[in-house]
Amino acid sequence: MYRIALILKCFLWFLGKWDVDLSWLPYFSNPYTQYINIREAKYLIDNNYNPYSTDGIFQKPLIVYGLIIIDSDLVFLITDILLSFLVVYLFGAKQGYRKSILLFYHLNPITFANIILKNTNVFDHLFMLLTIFSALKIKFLSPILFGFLLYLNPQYFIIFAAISVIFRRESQTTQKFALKLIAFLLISALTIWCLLHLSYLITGDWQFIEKTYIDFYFPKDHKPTIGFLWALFSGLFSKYKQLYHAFFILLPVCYILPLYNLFVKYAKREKDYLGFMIGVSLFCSFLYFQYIAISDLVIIFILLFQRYDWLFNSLPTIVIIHAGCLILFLGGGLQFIWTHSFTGNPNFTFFQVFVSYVFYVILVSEGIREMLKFRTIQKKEEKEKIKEAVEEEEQQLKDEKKESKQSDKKLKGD
Amino acid sequence: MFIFFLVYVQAQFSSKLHFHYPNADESIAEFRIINKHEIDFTKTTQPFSLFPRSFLENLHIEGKVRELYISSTQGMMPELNAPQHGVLIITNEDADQQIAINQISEIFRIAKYNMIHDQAYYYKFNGNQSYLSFMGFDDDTIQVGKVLLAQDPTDNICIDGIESILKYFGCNGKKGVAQIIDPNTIFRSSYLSLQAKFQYDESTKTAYQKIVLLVKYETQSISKIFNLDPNLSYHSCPEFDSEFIQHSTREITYNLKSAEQFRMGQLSKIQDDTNMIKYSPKITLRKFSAGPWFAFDSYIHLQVTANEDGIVSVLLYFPHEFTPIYHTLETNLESQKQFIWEKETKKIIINAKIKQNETFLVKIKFSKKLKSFEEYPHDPERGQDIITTPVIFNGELYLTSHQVTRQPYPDFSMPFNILTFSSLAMGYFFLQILGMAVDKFILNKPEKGSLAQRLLRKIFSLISF
Repeated sequence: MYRIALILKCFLWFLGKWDVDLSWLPYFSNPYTQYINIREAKYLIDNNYNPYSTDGIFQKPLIVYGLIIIDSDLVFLITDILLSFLVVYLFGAKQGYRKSILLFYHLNPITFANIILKNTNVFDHLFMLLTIFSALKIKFLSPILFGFLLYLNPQYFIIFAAISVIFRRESQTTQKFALKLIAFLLISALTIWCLLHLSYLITGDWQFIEKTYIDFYFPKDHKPTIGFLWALFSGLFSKYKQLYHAFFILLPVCYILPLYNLFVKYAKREKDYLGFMIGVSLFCSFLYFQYIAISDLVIIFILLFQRYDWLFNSLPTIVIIHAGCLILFLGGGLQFIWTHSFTGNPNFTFFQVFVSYVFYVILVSEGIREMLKFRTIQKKEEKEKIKEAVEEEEQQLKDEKKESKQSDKKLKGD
Repeated sequence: MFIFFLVYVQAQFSSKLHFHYPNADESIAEFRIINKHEIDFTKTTQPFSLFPRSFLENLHIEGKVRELYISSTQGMMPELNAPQHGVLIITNEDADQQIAINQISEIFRIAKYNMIHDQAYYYKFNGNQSYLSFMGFDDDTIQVGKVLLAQDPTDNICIDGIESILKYFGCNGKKGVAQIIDPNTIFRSSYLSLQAKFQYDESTKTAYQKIVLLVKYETQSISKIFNLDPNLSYHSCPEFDSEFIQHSTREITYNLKSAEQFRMGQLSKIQDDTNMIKYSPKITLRKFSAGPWFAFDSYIHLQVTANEDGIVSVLLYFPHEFTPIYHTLETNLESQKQFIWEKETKKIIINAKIKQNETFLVKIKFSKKLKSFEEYPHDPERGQDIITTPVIFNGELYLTSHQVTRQPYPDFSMPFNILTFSSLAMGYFFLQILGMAVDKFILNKPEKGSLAQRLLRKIFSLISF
């Protein structure tokens, strides 16, 4: 079924020759992901200017120059298909999840619009999944891919918590685990340095660092996004702007240890937890980022829904999911009212984002609570099983002793 | 005017009203007051302020000012190469860029933040001279990259207090050429410019002050602009050494010091029909901003129509509030484009060869950026200025009109509430994750405590799901 959906999707894409401008759709693309930045960079490069002299180009030099060299829309379709297969391969072991997620992904107009819009965050998602894949299968590649991922978007550093859990479950001793982590971090740092140096050689100066790593934490764009940090409007005040942003940039770092602690205890069979764990981690990190698009949320929720049984465990949670999604889309409508009908207020948009995030916060924390409940019950059952097994063994031993005593008695009687 | 006279030897006060007639329909009246006297400023001990402060009550100049020149305009008048911008040149011993910026921002309706951020105001300090201006000149040649205007020539901001400067025209504005100026009607003119210059020569210890008021008006409406009651006689001001009214072409000069009786109504009857200076501009300019006001992007369109062959240079300037989208730049003729970035300011210089009666079209899209709270002017509804675009055609400088573009701006009353609610949500989530990571999860925890404690716990659990 999903193969048919995939073929239809590719056919629609090839047939359509999509030149339509979908950038007016609110929240689907943002200054961080929009393809128009690549077009602008190409124009400046053709006129022998450094593309990072101007404002607003947040894509990293390798992506910019890579897309200019490749110059084909097909790369976005291929990346999208690769994404869906990776999601299923990595997190699709649970029954029913594999097919439903593929159908959801390929029949979803949001993911299709993302291909048409040519949002560049699709490469962030790809490298994130490749990092997890290599952490599970091809160990030596994982720090290099993690370095790539951080080079593209430092907000993905939170994946380090999931990688630490994977390494811990595979390491026999704490010392081996520590050495693995240190080696991982060193190689990642080296990869990042090499990529930055390569970017410097390509662009000719270090200007891109200010524009692509520092400026995108200081929102200057009018267009609303669904990023919670944008809704915070911290960019409005120049007085304490740097303090606010330093605080919000560093706060996600505080989540790494709690997330590791939360999942390492319970991730015995990590594949079943892995998607959920990464979804929670990404949610924690992107809560403090203003340039989040709907496609980012789609990936996060796909990963969270690996354990839909935990998320759907209670009726209020289902209401929360629907309400959150509804309000977010309602926010897009209210944004149009604000900007096109001379009525409404930007605060409507901010409050939609805020209320949606309140619902998502409750959803994620309740999901984790269900996970803890599930694992506690699982542990209890395992303890009982072990107890029963021990009792059985003891009983067996007793029986054997009895039998041997009886046989001894018989022999003595004889 | 507050001047401490320590040594008073000789003073010269002169006033002159000069009428120009560029064409049959329009006239220009130039009022010029010159004040020259000896003052030894080295012996003054208290801060002083000289007449530029007169029409700008909030302008403070500290230190020993040697030269001060302020020019402010309302409208456009290229005929006399009259200023279409604001210039402030301060020469003093205690030259300080910050003082200069403070003084400029007091005069003109430009936020201090824009001045510092955009670095659009050229400042030079050489020894004891500080020079701050909006237009950059090197050896009297217009530097294309440095031509930059920040004042809205159609914005009446600096000449509001014209009543207060009339007293410097002598006799508190009741006698002399000041009689002709009617503060209530002078703003009906199509152009109004006020310049004030103060200069102090250290070697001769002479202070020199000059005020020039330029007014352009329709010739037929002279009596609507000026106070020309035919029954009113002209009264000369005894403070002034000379008072002249001059007509440019016929070189008619009235020496009003010696005139026994001069009726104000006579001025409205004087017409000059010979040797009129015909002014015809070499190019016609049209600039406008396209796109709905609420859009996050907008377009700038510029049309240059030439009356003769030549080379045209256009300088498009974008302050930090706007970012041009370079790949949308379109021109209808072959042109050379140069992009310049100076910190947060962006400039585009376009050069093209244009033939007679040909129109050069330039179009570019720009996006409007969010500004900091402090950067918004007192009246955000007014919008953001897109200043005049200098166009240099065959070495002559022309200026387009000024635009104002509105942008969707946030509701400034709400940010604190949003910050509070958002921080609450973030804090709740952080505590949830941290709590679940460190606490031991116990199923069906037995409830302990009194009835009241159990009740409170129950209510709390209902609220927090």
